[in-house]
Amino acid sequence: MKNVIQNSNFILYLLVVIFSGLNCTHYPPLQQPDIVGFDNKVDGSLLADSLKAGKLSVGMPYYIVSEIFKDWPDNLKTTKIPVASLGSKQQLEEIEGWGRAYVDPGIQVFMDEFKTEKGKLDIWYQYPNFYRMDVSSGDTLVIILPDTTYSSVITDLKKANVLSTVNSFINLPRNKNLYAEIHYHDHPWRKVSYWYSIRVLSNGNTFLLKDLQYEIYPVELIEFNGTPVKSFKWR
Amino acid sequence: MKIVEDFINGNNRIKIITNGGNPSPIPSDWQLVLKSCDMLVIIPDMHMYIYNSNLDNFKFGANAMISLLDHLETIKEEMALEGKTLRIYQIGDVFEQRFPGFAASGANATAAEIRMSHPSYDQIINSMNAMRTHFLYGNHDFELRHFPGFNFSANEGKVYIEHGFTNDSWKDFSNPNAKFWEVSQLIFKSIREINQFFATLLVKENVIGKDDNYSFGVTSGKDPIYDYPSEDEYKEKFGVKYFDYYTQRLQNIPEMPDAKISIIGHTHHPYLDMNFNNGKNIYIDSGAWTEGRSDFTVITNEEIGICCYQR
Repeated sequence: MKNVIQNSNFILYLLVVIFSGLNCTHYPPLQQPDIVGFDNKVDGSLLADSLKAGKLSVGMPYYIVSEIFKDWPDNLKTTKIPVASLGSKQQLEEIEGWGRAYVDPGIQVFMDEFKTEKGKLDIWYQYPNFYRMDVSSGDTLVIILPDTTYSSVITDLKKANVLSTVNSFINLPRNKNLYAEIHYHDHPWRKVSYWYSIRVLSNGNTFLLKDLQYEIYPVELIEFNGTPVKSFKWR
Repeated sequence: MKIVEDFINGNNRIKIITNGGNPSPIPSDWQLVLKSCDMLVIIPDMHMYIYNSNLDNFKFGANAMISLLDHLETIKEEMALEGKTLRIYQIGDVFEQRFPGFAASGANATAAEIRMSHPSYDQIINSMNAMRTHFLYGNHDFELRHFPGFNFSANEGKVYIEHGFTNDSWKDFSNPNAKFWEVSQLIFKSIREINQFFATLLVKENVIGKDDNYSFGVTSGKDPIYDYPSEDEYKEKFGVKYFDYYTQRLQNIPEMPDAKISIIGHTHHPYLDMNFNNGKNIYIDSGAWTEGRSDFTVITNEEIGICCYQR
């Protein structure tokens, strides 16, 4: 009888060890993004202050997400999921014969999913042309340099990636990518859009989006445990 | 417009590789050969694949491509200020989708997966889209025919543009319209899966680096190639198959009765024949932007030339 009890205790002990092992996911520490590098790229104060406060905020470039989750293992994340629109969690996938899957090369919205210690974090980011970001005439383009700020009202959008302003800024450095913000005149839910790579053309009042790649796509939507949040605090 | 003055415009990384480094003049009685634009730039086969894969042959040419697109963006906007139009074509095989994908097990690589495999690749596609590049599909990205904006061929004034696979026989396994295509591509993908398996093994055993190229039968592209290869070799390898076909094709395009110039890619071998079909046509094979090559074609109403972009 004693042996039976001892064996039962041992099996119980084993089960506890096995199940506690299964439920114990190891979460690596979240990393501090490169604040100096961010300051060199972004001259506006709002996002920089947010970063210094340890918060990933809507509007920040996507590479900040990569830096924070640098050490995250593959089993706790899925990144660069092509989706139809902000908020959509359905991966875009087309299946046709012989088990193939095709995805439209023009997809411009992507999503990352992270499992964290406190819950599930979903982040959407998208290719930001002027049409997609709802820029219109009457909004204000603000070019921010380390020592000064230039701003002017937008007159028209020439293309999805080209706009013109009322004022001409012939003193702005040409052949150099600049940081800019668009302050909306009348937008239902957005006050500011952030641009990490804009260049002035020779006439001084035409601006062109440059060198857009996913590392500088702006984060557009953050959801934590299914609820939209303005920021995610990593420390 | 002139290629040297108006297109190259002092960019010393662009060299004309045909006609001894000079633009070839288009016969004056053919002009205007372009009707809805003033300059045409044709970017041939790129075969962009997942950047970190040992099977990718594009990555060494990626920065040069970004630089060319930056140049095109400036030229396009400057021309627009003068009321002129630069039109850009990518004539197929922008992606290598016949290789295995990583996103879904057993599936071919998807365009989105390739594009998002590296910031430079995403930038290249975004830049092409921002300039409203016209895309044709090739045999290595035949799946793109499903999506808006990807066409089989294009007519620009008197210029006919196509990827160039149409005249391949089923034995070449490179014509999606030929019989046994599906079967051959399934086998081809299996071979590449085996290729990938060995590449992963060799990386694990430190025999090759994780960024080293290990693609059966294809060079890495690490060493640039700027030459204009042998015309005789082109005639021998492709002439028999292609010349008759494109002579006939130019005479049989209902919506383009005065077609004069035929442009293809597909072979990765640049070739310019200003005296094609006894001087009645011009035939251009634009070459490739993969495996070390960085070719592209420029056409204005007056001149034509195959160029390369130096790294």
